[in-house]
Amino acid sequence: MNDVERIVAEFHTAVEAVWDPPPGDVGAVMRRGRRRRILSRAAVAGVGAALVAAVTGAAVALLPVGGPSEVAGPEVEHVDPPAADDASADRGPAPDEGSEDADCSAAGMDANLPPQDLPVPVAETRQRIAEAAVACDYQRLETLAATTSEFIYSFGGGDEPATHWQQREADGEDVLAELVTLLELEPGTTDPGDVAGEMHVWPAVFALDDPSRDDFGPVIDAGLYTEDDVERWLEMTGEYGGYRVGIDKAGHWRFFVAGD
Amino acid sequence: MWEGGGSGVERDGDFIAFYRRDRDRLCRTVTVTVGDASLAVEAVDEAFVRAYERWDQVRGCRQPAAWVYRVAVNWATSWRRKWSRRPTRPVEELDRAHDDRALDTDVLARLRGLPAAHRETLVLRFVFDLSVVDTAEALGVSPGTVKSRVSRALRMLARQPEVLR
Repeated sequence: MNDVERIVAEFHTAVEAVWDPPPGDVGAVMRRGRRRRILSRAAVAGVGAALVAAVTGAAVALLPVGGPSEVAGPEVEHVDPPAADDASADRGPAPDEGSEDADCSAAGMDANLPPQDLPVPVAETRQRIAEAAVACDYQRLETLAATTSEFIYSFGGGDEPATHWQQREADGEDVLAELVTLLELEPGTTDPGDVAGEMHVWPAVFALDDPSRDDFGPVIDAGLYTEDDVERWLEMTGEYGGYRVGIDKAGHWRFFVAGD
Repeated sequence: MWEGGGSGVERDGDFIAFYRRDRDRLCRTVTVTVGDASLAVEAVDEAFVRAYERWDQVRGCRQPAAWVYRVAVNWATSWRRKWSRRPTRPVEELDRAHDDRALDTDVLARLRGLPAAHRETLVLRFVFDLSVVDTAEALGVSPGTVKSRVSRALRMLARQPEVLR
């Protein structure tokens, strides 16, 4: 062994022996990573929508009235979610909202959600989603989802949201009823410092890094999932794995998705 | 509309194996580099979260552990700049369970005397076994800089520096 090799070997030994770190938790690392993946996709979607809005605004105005600063930044808050009336106008005849013809798992549910302490844009979007779901109006739901270009509704690929949800319902999954039920539960909020910024999510347990069994109580009590489901999630990932809804502070519907 | 992704079972299995194999070594190397054990553990965890977020890309790297190491060191450096008053847990206060291992405290002391960039270069070059060119690429410096840092660092670590001159 020459001198360089000897010194490198000593360096190796010193590094190896410096200390025994505390045990790591790979499950917690993966939970944080999964949550960030979802939130970062939602963040990208928000910026994309804002850029489209900025470009569209600039094109309509041709010359910015107040100088370049008016179109300089992709401010998410500048993108208004479409009003429910606008959405149905875009999609042809009004749906059979609340009528006997409405045919989906949410038909007959109460679209008047319990009041919650939410920012106005978030509250309005929550209400519009519930109304569209109760009316079994898939197209209106898709229009609400389209306020961001990368709304997340599936991790498995497939059709557009309306077709996707319609197919799930046809397969016997009460997906729209779950959507309304979720919005009736208490929300949680994601960390304002996270990649997507502050977002309201339903159910609240989805916002927790390391949920306890008790934290899953509301989704079990609401009949959305069973204790067996919770056990499976805790065993597999340690976190909530069912359907969840996310709306950002500007009122954009960011995701309605299950699994990871 | 986003609809990508996959089942991820194999992907997760790879990541878990990687974490279990390399996590402790990364905690040690980052500790040696930044000189603060608590910060090193946090930094390594944060870097692993980032690796998991983009695991499809990271696992394609020649040395995923070196990627995590660089992210962890950068994160720790940036964190320390922002929160310089944070309590630290210096290397001297660490619990050492490896009593049977020959811990050369002189080497550690000399390591602490090196600039952080030199410690980082040594770790990438000799712990992660990157070539001079790959180390240079990872650090964003020239191969010549890597060679001179290694040479200087080894001289400082040597008990008898004159033997390397």
